[in-house]
Amino acid sequence: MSDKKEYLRDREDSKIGKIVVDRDFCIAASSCIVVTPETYELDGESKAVVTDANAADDETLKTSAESCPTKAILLFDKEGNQIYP
Amino acid sequence: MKEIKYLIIGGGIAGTTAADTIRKNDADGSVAIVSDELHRLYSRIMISKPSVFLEKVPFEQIWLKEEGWYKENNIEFLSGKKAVSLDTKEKIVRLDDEEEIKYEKLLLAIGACARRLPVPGVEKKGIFHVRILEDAKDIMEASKSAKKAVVVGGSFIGFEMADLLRQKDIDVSMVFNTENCWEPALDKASSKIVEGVLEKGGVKIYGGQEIKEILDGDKGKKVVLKDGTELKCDMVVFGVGVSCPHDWLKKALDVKRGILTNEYLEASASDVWAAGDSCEFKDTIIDDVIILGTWINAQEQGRTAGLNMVGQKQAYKNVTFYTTRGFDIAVAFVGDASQADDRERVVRVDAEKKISVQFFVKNGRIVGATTINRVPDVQVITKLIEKQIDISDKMEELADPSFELKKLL
Repeated sequence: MSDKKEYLRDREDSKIGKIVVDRDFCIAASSCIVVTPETYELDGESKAVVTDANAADDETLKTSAESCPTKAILLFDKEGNQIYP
Repeated sequence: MKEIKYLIIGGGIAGTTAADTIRKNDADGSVAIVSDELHRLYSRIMISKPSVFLEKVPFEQIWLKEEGWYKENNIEFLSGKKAVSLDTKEKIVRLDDEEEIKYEKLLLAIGACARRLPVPGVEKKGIFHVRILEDAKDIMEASKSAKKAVVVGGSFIGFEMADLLRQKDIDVSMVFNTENCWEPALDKASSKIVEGVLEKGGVKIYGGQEIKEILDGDKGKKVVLKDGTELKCDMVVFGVGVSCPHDWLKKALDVKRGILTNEYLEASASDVWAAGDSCEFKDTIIDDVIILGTWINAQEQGRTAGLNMVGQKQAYKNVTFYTTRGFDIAVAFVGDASQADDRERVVRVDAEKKISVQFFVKNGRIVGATTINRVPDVQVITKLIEKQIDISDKMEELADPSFELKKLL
């Protein structure tokens, strides 16, 4: 059973409806935070958590997911389909 | 002769991030990446993690750039080619296929190579080193039928490989030449915690031992140690450190462990930068010349080098860390976690709880640390290093596990 945390996003101008962080995969490389520190931070277990799912635009969010070297960030559209990875 | 405005040697995360950064700031200048690997950018981290190794996710998840990314961004990708000579006067790089490329600006992001011990038998089948995608695939394949494995080396790679192989129920013997594992990076107390969990996890440890030779047995292999011990196994995985492949640069640039640079990642010749695992750079936060092997350091140095190459001069200032888990413990290395003559080690340990933090202190400031099962401390320690907090009169508190580190901020 994997340890995934879901964060809902409700920006009108966005196609992304949900950000998921797979905490089993997260190794705190922190590249997501570098891309958008308004969206992510490391929690007390040094795992990435989403502090504001609406902070970044879609392009930035995609870049943050793409920057993760363990593909721990998953993105879903508003219909619930996985769009990344 | 081919002429490229921004020539990047190395197609890993440092080189690729540099190329991306350059292209975002210069839409027209020609950019080329020369990589001695055949593949586009992939996650070197993922290939030694349980998600991929234990096939919890498809292998294809390792790709970090789509096939079309290079063309879409007008970045020439010369894969499967090695740079073999550099002329910084004429600004020419020669490749192993005799092609010469004239550059305006050059980035060396050539990474680090897995060290190979000169042990007789090391070139045989079933003996693996850990660096590239093909190594990962080969190890995964061998582990499908292996019953016994020998892991050589007791640091990051040894620890991670032992954990992955044990998760596949393979008998693992670990051999290393220091008295305790992960020395000298870890202090004795921390080493003993790691050895304890390795043994509890079923790993047989052979510390203070060296390999004499590797022979082919009736079925599988025999690793013969210098004291005569014979370890029968089906596969051997080496993790005995890295070296920078910079022989070809020695005449053109100043090199030591890596390619020497200042805080702007500028090498000793003009219009040449270095970034990533091969970069031995001036770190102005801890006032030292260091070399790091973390993913985020390589990525961010790639970005900084790229910005410098397009004329946005800025120093590289970053405290990075790397975490790994295995055998139910979390190990993290923060900053420059290495010993040197001008550094003092301070350790706080609770062996029963399997907790330890080791600080490296230089001139009254923390420059690096290792932690076992103290992941919450990683962020505090990062800040202590970043802010160059003077802890010279707090050495007792550092050594006391009950003292909360955040009080030092």
